[in-house]
Amino acid sequence: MARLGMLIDLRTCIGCHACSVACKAEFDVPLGNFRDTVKYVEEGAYPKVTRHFIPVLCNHCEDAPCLSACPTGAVVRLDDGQVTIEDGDCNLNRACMAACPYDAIYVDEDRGAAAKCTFCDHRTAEGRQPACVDACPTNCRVFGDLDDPESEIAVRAAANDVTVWKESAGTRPKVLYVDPKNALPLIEEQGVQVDTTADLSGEPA
Amino acid sequence: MSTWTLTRRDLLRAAAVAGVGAAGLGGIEVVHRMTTEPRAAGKTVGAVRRVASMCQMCTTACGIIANVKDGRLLTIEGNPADPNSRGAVCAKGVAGPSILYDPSRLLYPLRRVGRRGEGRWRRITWDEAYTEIADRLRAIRESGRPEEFAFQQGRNRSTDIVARFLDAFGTPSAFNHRALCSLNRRAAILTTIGDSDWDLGDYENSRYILNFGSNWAEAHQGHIPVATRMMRARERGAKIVTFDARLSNTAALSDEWYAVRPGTDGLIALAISNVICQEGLWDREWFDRWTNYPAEKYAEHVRAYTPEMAQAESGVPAEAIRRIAREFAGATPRCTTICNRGSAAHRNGFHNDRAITVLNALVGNMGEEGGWCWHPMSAWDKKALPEPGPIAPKPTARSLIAEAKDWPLANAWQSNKMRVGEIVYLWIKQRRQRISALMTYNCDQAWAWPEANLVREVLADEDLVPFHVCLDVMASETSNLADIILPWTTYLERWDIDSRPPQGLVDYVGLRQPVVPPLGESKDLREIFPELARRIGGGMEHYFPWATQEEYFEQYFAPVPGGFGHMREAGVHVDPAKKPNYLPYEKELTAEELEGTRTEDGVIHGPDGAIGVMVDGTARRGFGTPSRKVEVHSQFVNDRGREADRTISPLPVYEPIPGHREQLAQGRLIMISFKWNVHNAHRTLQSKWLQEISHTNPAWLNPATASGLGLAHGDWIEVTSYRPIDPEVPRGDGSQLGSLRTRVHLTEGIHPQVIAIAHNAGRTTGGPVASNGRDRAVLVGHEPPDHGRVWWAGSLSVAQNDILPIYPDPVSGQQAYHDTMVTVRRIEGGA
Amino acid sequence: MNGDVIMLMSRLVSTEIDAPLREALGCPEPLEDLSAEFCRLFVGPRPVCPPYASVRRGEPMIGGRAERRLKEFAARHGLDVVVPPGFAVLALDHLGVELALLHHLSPGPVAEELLDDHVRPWALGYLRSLEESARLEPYASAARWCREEIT
Ligand code: SF4
Ligand code: SF4
Ligand code: SF4
Repeated sequence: MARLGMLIDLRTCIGCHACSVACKAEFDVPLGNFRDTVKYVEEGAYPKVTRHFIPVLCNHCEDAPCLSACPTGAVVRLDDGQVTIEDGDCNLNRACMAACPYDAIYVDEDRGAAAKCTFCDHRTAEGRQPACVDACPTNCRVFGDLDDPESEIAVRAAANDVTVWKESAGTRPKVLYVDPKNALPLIEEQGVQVDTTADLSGEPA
Repeated sequence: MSTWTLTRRDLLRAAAVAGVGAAGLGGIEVVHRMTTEPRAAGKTVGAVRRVASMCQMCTTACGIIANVKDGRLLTIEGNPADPNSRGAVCAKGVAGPSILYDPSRLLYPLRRVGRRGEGRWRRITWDEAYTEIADRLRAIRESGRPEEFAFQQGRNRSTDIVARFLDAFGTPSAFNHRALCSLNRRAAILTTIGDSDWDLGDYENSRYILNFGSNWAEAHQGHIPVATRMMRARERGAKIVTFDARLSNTAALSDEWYAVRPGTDGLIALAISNVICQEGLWDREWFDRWTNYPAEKYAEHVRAYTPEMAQAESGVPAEAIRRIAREFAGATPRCTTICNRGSAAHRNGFHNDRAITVLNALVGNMGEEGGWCWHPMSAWDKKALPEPGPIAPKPTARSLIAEAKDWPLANAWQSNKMRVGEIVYLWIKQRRQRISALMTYNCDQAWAWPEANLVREVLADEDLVPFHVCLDVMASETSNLADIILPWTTYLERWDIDSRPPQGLVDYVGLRQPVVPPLGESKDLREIFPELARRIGGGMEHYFPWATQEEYFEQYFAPVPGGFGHMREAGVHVDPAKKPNYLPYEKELTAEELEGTRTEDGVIHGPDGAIGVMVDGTARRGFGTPSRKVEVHSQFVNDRGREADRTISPLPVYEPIPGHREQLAQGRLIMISFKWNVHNAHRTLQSKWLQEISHTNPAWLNPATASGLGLAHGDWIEVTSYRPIDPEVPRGDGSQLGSLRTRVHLTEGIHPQVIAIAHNAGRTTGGPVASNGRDRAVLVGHEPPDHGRVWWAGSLSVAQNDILPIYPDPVSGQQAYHDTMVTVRRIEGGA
Repeated sequence: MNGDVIMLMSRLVSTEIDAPLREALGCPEPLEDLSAEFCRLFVGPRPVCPPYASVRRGEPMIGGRAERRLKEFAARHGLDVVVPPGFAVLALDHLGVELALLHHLSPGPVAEELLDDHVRPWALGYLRSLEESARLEPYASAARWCREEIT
């Protein structure tokens, strides 16, 4: 039994979205739904301004509110701590979606079930990395067993100051961030899903 | 619409008569077969075939591994064996399957029905297509004016087969997009060091990197290989400073970003140089030994470029320039510069990039580990891996457009195909060169070129372009104006020998191979050209003796240990004996090399030209320039200019963009364009996965500028562009060019005198995905869920290129992409 | 269900109307116009009604989930299809393939399963779109009658 987690080092994330597209490809995630996105946030005033890139996904929380909220038992915790949803047991009551502080769960209409990041348990079972980790060109995403002091993730977590997204939600996330510029508070109000209403319309008023 | 309607009785009778009914004749047949297909647990679990190949979603050509199962491409990941990308790919690379299986792909040869541009097509067979094209081309070739067959390419990673066909045909009218891309940078580096037209850096080992407007985190020909090395350098504490008019992702990833006024990069480099000289921070000894100009005199030359002057022009504080100069020089030799279209795509871009290059010579970091580096090969080792013969001779016919003699440096180097792409359609329109047939290859010039509306006008005119064949993966503004459309394979269905300037400073060679068979009836040039050559005949066929593409590549890769078979396995080959190209100029010439040479003014000449230089009494290889030294002073450019009646300073100088100062004072803004990381050219706009991430392009404005214009976020504006005020530029009369309507995106991340519009939008055709639903032809009768899934339909998407003036730098012909002056005015509701 | 209607539709979405079929239909339009209409509707450039379940359901790619499911169905019943040369069929979730399978299996419980699980969920809406989008006969009428057959 491992305690699987992910560490994302924001110092070397280039905001390329490879992680997000790799996840789409791995799971045929429908358009409009996301398991993994990269938030862009600008901070500062001209000329002292920068842009942060913050990849976000399900946190596979130790205290997972979605798990406790699901009345049908469709949300389950796997042996290595991953939180996943069993298609067949989901009756689309959406309680998990309402409970998740990260907006990490969506409805896959095609499959008729709630869906979310699985920490790629089908790949890790074969000894491979999650698709998003594999795709990351800069290796700013590290995946592994937080309980194994030899693992790269544990070493890097120990060597750096690490933090989590929305700590105040009290869910004890297992996605850790190295965030020296303190960017995570800037997306306190956001979730994993993309705001599909945010674009400016091209239709003349 | 026909008035005839089919009755049910007709239909039933017809079905019976035509035998499409129960008999199954001429229809899809169902057969019984006992297959036990294993049910897959997850998408890439179980028996997948891993095929090594090369990406071509952009021109960086990263090594990839395709995961294929039951003949279907599932996913793409990086190939760790590739020495450039080292197993990394970007979002575009990962999105490959969405291009391969794009529902809007062109998959059958088509011939137009009705007028050109009317949009009606019928399928034809390849045989019909070949016959018609070959007949046309044969007639042109036999007329004795082969130059009337023109080939317009966009990105071309199949240069061997393209050149082979055009040379065998005898046409010099090969139009590329170099002037829209890298011309000034290439010309600047080539004239300065001679060895290469491409600087590489050794970023991973650098401690200090000055970035002049390059956006390696999102674009650049070395995109992911550069970005990953920059991040490694960063982990080791390197400092990155970026000058850019806009907060690009690269600027955001830098330790310092300075918003500069466009067109002043060269001045900043000169001012930094000045500080380095004045404060004695230079490597004077190196400069005096290895350049053709004394350090003292260069110090004199740059003295006029004070940090205060640079501040006034560029906006970068003089104090910052001084500090950066000290930090940069202090880090030498582990310091370097990087530049690309940010500094080069200007009217003064040639000098900008020369000034930046010479800045490196000043601190003596050239060729050093962690310094400013290069490699003599821009591709694989062509001596070790020569193109299989027979090789066609170069054409003797002349093409006015390809030669572009108005620009002294455009084609100044024999082997460098530096075409002035932006003038091609203007010159066709002006009937400077007659075109009887045009073949467009992987290019959407009718959308992507400056003054794209002019391109469309020319392509629509059957008088100017009597025959137009378009070879592409998907429908485009350009394919809409073709007579015949040939469905091209994606990069995942075809063969290439390929490699890029090596970031690791050791050359390598890669193989692009089909990871799945071509979809539909699509074909690659490597199949089309040999067949056309056979049908055109007249000796052309002689240059295509291979029965299959595999046979050709077997021969090509024979010198690689393990040959073609190894390449198919590994996808890439690096010679382990080769060392990084550090300090190549220091190499001492051997007695053998010196045999039969003569030395004149220190330059050592062999039978085929200069091979080295005497430095402090030692014969060394030196640089590839005529003086065998870094040519801070380039007599060559000065001479070439004189031949064309142009004054080109032999030393790097700052020439302000004509008309900018006056027009800025009138409140006009400078319009620039940029690229988002998930997009490349027209082809990525086809991918639902990529469009979902980036699909809209409102105009970036600084809030201070906006409030001065009475504008708020989301307001509709009209942007009106003007031609340059520049007698050295075609139609450079400052007249009004055109307008576009868009909306305001407020951001602190932009220079207040600049308006920036992403150019990867504004498609009007190519399907609902590429056009944000604007391609109405496709929407008729469609209801959700199909179209509803394209949730960004209706989002703002504006074509910028129609209002970009054709603006070649008078020195080289490089399109000045970032010098367009515009006015901005608020309009009510966009109507 | 009338097999002739089903098979005619299967053929109409898969390849152009050829001279014998045109004659049999008594169709007055020139072959070239019929071919242009075929392209406009089904193969493009920019097809108005791409005849794939995956595309209709808004999947990013031709094939994809819809094809995978149909493949599973076909494999389970030991079925395979042979597509004649010249037919513009790229994946099993093409309407022409689904209709051919349907015709082959009808009548019977397997045909019902195919209809319920694979064909009706998208083809009814699709055929309505096709009927509205077609500018030339026989496409519009054939789409209507085919829809009536499978409703
Ligand atoms: S771990 Fe797997 S499922 Fe989760 S975001 Fe990454 S790719 Fe997607
Ligand atoms: S793939 Fe890596 S570098 Fe790119 S956005 Fe994702 S986390 Fe950042
Ligand atoms: S950088 Fe270019 S070549 Fe490399 S993976 Fe991305 S798109 Fe492909």
